Amino acid sequence: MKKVFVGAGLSVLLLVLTSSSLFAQATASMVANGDFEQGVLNEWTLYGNNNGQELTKYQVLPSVTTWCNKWRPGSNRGNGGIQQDVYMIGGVPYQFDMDIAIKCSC
Amino acid sequence: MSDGGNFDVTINGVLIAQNKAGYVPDSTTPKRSHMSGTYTPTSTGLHELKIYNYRNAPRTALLNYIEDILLVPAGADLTIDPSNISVAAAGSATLTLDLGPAHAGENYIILAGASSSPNFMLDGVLIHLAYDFIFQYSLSNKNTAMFSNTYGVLDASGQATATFNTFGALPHLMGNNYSFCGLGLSSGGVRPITWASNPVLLNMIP
Repeated sequence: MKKVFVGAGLSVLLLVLTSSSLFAQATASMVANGDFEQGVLNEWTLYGNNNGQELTKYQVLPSVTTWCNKWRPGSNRGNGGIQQDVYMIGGVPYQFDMDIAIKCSC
Repeated sequence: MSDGGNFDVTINGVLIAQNKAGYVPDSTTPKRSHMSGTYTPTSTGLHELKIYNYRNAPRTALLNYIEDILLVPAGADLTIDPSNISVAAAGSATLTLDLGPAHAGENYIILAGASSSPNFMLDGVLIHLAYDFIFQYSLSNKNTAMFSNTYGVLDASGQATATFNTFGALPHLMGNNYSFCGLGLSSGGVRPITWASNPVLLNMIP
């Protein structure tokens, strides 16, 4: 959050916004389709060996079933991944978080 | 990597998070885990986020699931959930402002833009929204059914919750991204801006 000192009202703000005092700045973005909840891999690009990769609904908790991006790294699978380009502002710290689940009857 | 490697997460080739929990013997229910990390880009622009799943050849029955991935400015004041709305049917997203008790009772407004670029600086405040039709529309339609509770007063915890509703299928918006940003407004008639939140992005998907 940026603390500021501004002497203009909101109505004045809108007038100012149309003036030449505006200038383009960088923008920020978040990961798109980071929860896979539509059941599609839109916004992501597969790379490497994605044999065995799929989107599937999975019960990660007794009461929670959610769309997941499933990987099967055994045998000749794995060694691949998903990627996407995200727009980030230089000098701004970003927090990354990812929930995963692991299962093996091995 | 030996038996145990699951996921590496990199941005521009820099490792920011890693899970080496490996397999869970005789697991009939998944072992859930959380990965986290921080990254500060040195330049503005597109940065390559990669999530890599390592081969674990001996474990033919091993399954690795990615549930949710989130990347936001650290210490974000504004969050959105979900960050995707299907254009095929009515949908909504919850916008949550959380500025802490020190901001209790302050006035706020949450505005939208068809893009967060170009954003603009106003007297030292960087507002992560484009000044476009959507910006003006969200301002004119604050606290309506579409932009519910987008203008009001932060509660005792310095929090507020607003909702964006689409009310129906909007196929022509497929592929669009909309940005939202919260602004603090002082009390009084002129309502000067006192702070600006981080932006959040809403994706319109199939």
